[in-house]
Amino acid sequence: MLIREIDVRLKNDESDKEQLVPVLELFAESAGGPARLLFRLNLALDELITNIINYGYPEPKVGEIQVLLRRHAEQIEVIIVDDGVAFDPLSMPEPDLESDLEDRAIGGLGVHLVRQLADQVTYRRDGDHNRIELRMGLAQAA
Amino acid sequence: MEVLNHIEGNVLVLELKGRLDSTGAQAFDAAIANRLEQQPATVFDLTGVAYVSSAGLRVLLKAAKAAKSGGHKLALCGLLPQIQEVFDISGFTGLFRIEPDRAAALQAVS
Repeated sequence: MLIREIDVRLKNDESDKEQLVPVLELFAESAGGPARLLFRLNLALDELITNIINYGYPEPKVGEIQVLLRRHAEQIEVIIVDDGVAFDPLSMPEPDLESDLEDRAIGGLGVHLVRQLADQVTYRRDGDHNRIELRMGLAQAA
Repeated sequence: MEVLNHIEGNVLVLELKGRLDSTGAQAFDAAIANRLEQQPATVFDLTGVAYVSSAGLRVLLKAAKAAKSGGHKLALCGLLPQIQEVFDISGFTGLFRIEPDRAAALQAVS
């Protein structure tokens, strides 16, 4: 069975995020592609959704985060739409990757990992929603 | 996240099992609080860790900083390929003593 699209709705709650794990397993298995696709999908979504939960909802509010997974011929497309305040994760500063242990800053690695693991990541504010789109290739070499 | 403790010689060996995500990282952080300074050397065995996020990296970096400033030795072992990949792209590989298995890690800190 080839799954072409999965649409998941999560609340802005860390515990809700764990529901994604079996969904991603199902999707990645169906999609085929490189062995590490599932790991990369997991990590990219984990980091992006954690950021949305932490920065998108400064006021107490039950929010909805939509995760849309699509399989195209040669790549996976992931669209994440949330109803939080405007927040562009790609505007966060690049982390420190060079300093010695003593001076190495703790943090900022999440979005860096997403940029490295995905082939393409974009953000835009779409009305009163944030929209992140990312693409990962299905080629074995990826 | 499950963290198993062993003492081998004078080395504290912490064997991690599970996902080192936000929840796992909190459990790991709690398990090592005030623990590392009790032995001169520590090994984190990551053989049972198939997943790490930036939350897990943060706790590992914090532990490495604490070990260094306290004059303790720390080595990591058993990194699966995807964990090593995350270390590489995060610039973490040069910050840690990383050994293939527990025997080599024990030797490195002894």
